[in-house]
Amino acid sequence: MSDPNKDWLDEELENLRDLEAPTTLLPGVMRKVRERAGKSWRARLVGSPADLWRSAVVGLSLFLLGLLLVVNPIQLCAQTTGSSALLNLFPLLLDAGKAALSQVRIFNLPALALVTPAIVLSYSVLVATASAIRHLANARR
Amino acid sequence: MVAAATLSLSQFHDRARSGLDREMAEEEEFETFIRSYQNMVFSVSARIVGNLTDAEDITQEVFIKAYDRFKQLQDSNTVGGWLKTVATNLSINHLNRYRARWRFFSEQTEPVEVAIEVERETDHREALELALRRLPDAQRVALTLFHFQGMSYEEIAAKLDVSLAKVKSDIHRARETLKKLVKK
Repeated sequence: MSDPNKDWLDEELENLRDLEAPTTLLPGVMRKVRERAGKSWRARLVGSPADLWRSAVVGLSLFLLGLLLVVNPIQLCAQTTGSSALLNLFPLLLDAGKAALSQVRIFNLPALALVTPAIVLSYSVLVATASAIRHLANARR
Repeated sequence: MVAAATLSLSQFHDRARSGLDREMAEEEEFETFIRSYQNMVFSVSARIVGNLTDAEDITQEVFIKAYDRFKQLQDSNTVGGWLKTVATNLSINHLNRYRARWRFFSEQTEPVEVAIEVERETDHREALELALRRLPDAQRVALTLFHFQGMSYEEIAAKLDVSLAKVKSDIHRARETLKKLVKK
């Protein structure tokens, strides 16, 4: 017995057959599959040469940033013989700034403890804004 | 010594040949697999995205994903379900990339006109397929998930991240539009 709630549209929709896939589909998939199979596991992991370069540049930048925390390049320059008085002044200013940040207290907290979250927060806001702009631009396209 | 070397060389060739044969056999199996399911996957994508060119791209993507886990899929008896789910998710993701446009269309109250003259000459089912593709995105997606994937209103609402009332109204409006456009 047929369902009384069903009308002709339900029947028509139920009777719809699968659409025929285009003839270009199978060769297209097989070509991509062969391309993937031809790539070594390393190439698949690393991706395109452009991706590799991008990752290498980001890695190097992070390494240099980490190195800055350990080595003070201005101080190193200042220590070399024949350096100018101005160059000698930079490490002094940096040391004074570092001391000020760690010793000055705002609301009983070291200034560094307040400045660091402020920097992180402003960076996050910048990233979120950039991402929102990109999202809106994609949506409008 | 030479004989031993020759033997190992021929063995090496045999192994290489058998490896190539295995690869070719795997490729053939995968081709057969695609032939068996391509219409189903293509239909799922085409009915969700409403565009045959985009549906072809999505179908290719689905099969490339399937190739990565072909061995597991061969042993599984839920291949069809897996392919349908992946095709559905990729198609919805595709539409979500243009979410603003989707919202704009979903707010339209007037049904999108289908070329009625063309439909009268063509097969009734073809006309229904055409009318389905020309429905506003939000209505078509909800109707497709309900009728072709057998999902409940609640499941559709959760999948599309919209309210239950919107799903119900989209399906109702889609059905009304289809009835108007493809008269029995």
